[in-house]
Amino acid sequence: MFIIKEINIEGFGKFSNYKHTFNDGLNYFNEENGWGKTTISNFLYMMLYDIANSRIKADKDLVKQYCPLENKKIYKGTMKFEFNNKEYTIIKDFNNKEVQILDSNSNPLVNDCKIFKDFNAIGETIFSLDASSFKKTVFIDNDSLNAKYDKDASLKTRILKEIGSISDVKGYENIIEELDEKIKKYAPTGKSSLAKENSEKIKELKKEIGEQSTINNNLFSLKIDKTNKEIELKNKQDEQKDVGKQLENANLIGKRDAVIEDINDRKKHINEAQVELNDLKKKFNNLSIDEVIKDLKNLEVLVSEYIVNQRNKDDLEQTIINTQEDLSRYLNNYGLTLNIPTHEIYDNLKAKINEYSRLKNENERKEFLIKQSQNPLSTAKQDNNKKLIVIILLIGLILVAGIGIAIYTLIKDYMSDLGTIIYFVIFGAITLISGAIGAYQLIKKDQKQDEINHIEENNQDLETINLTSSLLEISSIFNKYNINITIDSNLDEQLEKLRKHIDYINRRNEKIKEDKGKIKEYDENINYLESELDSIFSKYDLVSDEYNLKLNELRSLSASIQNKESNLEFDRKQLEKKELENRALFNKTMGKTSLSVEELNQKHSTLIKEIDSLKDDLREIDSKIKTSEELIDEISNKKDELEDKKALEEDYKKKHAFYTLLKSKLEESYKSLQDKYLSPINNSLSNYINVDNTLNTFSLNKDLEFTYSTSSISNKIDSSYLSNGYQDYVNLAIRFTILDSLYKNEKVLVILDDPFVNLDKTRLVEVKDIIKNLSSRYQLIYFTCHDSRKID
Amino acid sequence: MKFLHLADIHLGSKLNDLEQEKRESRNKDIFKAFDNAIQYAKNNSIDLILVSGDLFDKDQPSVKVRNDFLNKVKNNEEIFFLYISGNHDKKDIFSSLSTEIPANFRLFEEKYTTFTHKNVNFVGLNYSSSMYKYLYDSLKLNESEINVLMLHGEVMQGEAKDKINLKKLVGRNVDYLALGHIHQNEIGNIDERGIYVYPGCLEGRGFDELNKKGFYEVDTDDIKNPKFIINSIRTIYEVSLDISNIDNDDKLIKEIEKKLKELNILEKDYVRIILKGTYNPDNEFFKKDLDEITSYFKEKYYVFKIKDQTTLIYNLDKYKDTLSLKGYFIDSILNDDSLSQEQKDELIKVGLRLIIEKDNN
Repeated sequence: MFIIKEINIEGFGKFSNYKHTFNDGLNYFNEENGWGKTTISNFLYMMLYDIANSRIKADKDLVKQYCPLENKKIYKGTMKFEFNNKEYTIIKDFNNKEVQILDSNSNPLVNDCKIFKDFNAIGETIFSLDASSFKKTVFIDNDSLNAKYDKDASLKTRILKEIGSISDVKGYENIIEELDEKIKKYAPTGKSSLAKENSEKIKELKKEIGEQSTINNNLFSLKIDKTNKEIELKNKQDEQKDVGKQLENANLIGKRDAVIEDINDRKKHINEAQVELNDLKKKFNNLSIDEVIKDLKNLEVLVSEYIVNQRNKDDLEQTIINTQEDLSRYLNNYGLTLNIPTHEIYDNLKAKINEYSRLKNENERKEFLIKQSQNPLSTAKQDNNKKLIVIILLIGLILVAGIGIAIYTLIKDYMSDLGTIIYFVIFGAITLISGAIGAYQLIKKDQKQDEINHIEENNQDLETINLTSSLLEISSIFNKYNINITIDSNLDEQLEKLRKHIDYINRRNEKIKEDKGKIKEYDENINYLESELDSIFSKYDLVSDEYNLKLNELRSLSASIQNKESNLEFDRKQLEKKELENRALFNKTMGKTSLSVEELNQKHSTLIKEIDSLKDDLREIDSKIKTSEELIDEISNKKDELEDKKALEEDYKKKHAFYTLLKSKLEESYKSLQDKYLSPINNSLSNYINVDNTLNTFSLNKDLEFTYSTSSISNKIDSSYLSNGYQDYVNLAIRFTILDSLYKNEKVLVILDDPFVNLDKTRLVEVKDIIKNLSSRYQLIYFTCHDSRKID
Repeated sequence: MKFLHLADIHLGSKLNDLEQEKRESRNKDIFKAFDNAIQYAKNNSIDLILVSGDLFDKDQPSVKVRNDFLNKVKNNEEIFFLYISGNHDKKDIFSSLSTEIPANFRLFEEKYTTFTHKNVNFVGLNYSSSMYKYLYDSLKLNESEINVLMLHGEVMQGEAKDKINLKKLVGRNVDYLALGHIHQNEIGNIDERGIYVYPGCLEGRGFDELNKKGFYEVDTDDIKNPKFIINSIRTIYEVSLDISNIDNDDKLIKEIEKKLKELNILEKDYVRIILKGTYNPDNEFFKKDLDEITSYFKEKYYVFKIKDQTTLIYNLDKYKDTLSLKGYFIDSILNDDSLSQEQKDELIKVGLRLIIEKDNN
């Protein structure tokens, strides 16, 4: 609910300090042109909306237009109003764009008070309309009468929604759009039609498939061609084989001739070889090769032995010479060339030396004994020793007895009677033995003393031994062999020297003797071997002198004969093979051919070329067959594709029909719905428009477009066919209808700025009545400049 | 002796249910399945494979497919392949090829012919629409021998047009009726002596060929107990899900995931979810195309589809007497007697979805 109570224009257009109080019904301003009616109406408009920031250019011009000319500084005004049963005062300064709203107690409201969304545009809160929509609804002037609502979707929706609860229409256009797209898609014709595309594809496929019969025929011809070519090829190949055989035959004949020539050559060669062999064999006096080989074997051995024996003999002779020379040097070195020592001399000398040694030893012993017995100290010492030994012996015996008794005392308890007896027997024996040993020592000492005494008695024997003469004799023997000895010489050593000489000499001589014996043996062998060798070699006619050379000669001859025999054997075998080959070739050849080899070769080459050409042709045909078969496969695939496409075509048809039906049903439903929800509007409209000669039936559609029919035109036409006056009349009616739908049960402001200018009398009367009626429901502020349009 | 019984291999299939880019690889799977069967025979010293018809998917398969098959047979010359044509392929399917028929590949004719191998008779008859006229009268099998009969067609216990009447084979000395045509494995009795066997197709190609596929290994010493060998490279599953109590995308996705996990379906397999139950326009996911949910799962499986078999329920009273496009729309559809119930449901479903979706945007 909104009504304006009072306005106070301090400065706006031509007005300054202008006040006006309004009633809540019809407020009528009948003033002349130029008074400022439009100024007032625009003042109200600018008080309700933020024109300075309006997107409408015309609105922005208003701010400039209404700036007071005389006193630009004061460009403001106030408006007292009632909104939802509360009073407010709005104060707007258009210069500095300040706005203030005071409540009924003149207290300023704060900006976030939630009563008015925007203090500069309280109209948006009051009317739930923006400035543009306000101008198309609440504010009615001649210019805005022709406003169209189709582009103002939100206003339209709001208007329509106010009428009824249409909950699900907002997507209707999109649905129809979507369905249209689908219908186009599945339509049989049309640019974006899949069905059309599919249909063209079907035609294309049919055409391509139609070509299959051509391909089939082609394939059939190709297969016939292939068969013919294969037959031709076979014939040519047979002919080639035949020519080949002839050629082979011709070649065989040629080959045989060559073989025969070869055979003859071989025979000649064999004969020559045989002659050579025979000549060689003559040297063997026609002995068989086996015999020769046997002789050779023997000769190998004999010659080898002969050589060995000869060599050994020579070596040995040399050895003897060497040994002799060694011996001679040895004898020279030791000065033994005049007197050569022998074993007999050695034995004799040895005996003499032994004797000499014995005597010398004897003599020395006796001297020692005498010396010893002459020592007084030693005699007394010897007596003392003898006494000491007796004492010790006695003490020893006592001790042994004591120990025995002590031991017995300790162990007697553990011993039986027999044991005791045995113990004492053993112990007694020990004691006796100890005593016997001591007594013996004493006796021996006495014997020695007796001997010494005997030597002293025979002192004169020492002087009779003539050691020197013995020694002299020995020395003279040694001197013969350049060995000098003195009384101090070690005769054994010197004898040993001599012995070594003798050994050496004997060994040398024995060696020489032995070797000479061996030489004899070698000589015997050599003689034997020579006779054997001579015997064998005499069988052969050889030119060499020496045995080994003869042997080599014989060996060489033998090898040569063997080789020749072997070669001859091989050659004979080869000859045999050739003769077999000759026979085989003879059997193979079929007789002379009519054509020569060259002619046959020529024919053969030609046939090969023809055959190759046919093979190439066949390959080409095979390739074409393969291509044709592939094409047939392709066509088979196309047939499948065609079936798919046909099925798709059916599907598209069904879908097209379905969506077309669906669309028509939705349109039908929507129209019915429209008719249903537009009926309040149309009912309302019929309150403001009478049926007359001009208008028979009329209605608003969902875009709030007016259509009508006349008595002569039954199809509804739009209002552009009406006269200007009638259009204004209709537009007014539409405005009132819209107001009714927007503010069903509300009292709000309606500003009428001389909108009835174009109406004729009849319409004017009707409209005046309407205004009168409306004034009970709305606060009308009506501006006019003409009495005729005055409303009483 | 042992032999393998295969049928309905359908080499060179069109596979229209698959996207173009997968068709070639899937055909390779089918060929691989066939190759695997051959390997099985080799590994088990089996030297005879029966193919009871529909070796190829069409009567004019591509040259490549035919040649690939013949080369495969040729490269396994130690195995005999016996083949009768089915309703999809035809008897002279190899005649137009330039490739020679290998010696180990035996084709039957449109009259009974016999191939004897290791004292077992393999009697075959190529499929033709007229075969039913002479199928029984010209069949002569020796009672004292083991007889394997190869036919392609549907069996019935009794007379029916274009069906093989099993009753007419009773007492005809058939030990093993090696059939083809039905794409699911099945065994039944002819009489006390013999059985009929469908091995099913070798590899499923669409949602009408569900579950694991394979072939039979038959031992003539125990001919009534053939062993089914699972051989399929991919398995096709169809899973029903009642969505009556599901009202949003997330729940639907979770339910689907749960079902798939329970069945242990593998990434390489096909899956189709059949949505059953009632479907309320007030459900959140009603507003969206099920394609979004399909896209979510498509990455995880070789083929993933959703088929909507739900019944739309809508409370007309809710929309009645309301100034709403939904209400007016449903009303206009229901009052149109020229439409079938199915059409009405579909129109309402799609129309409502559009209105709700656009209304929410």
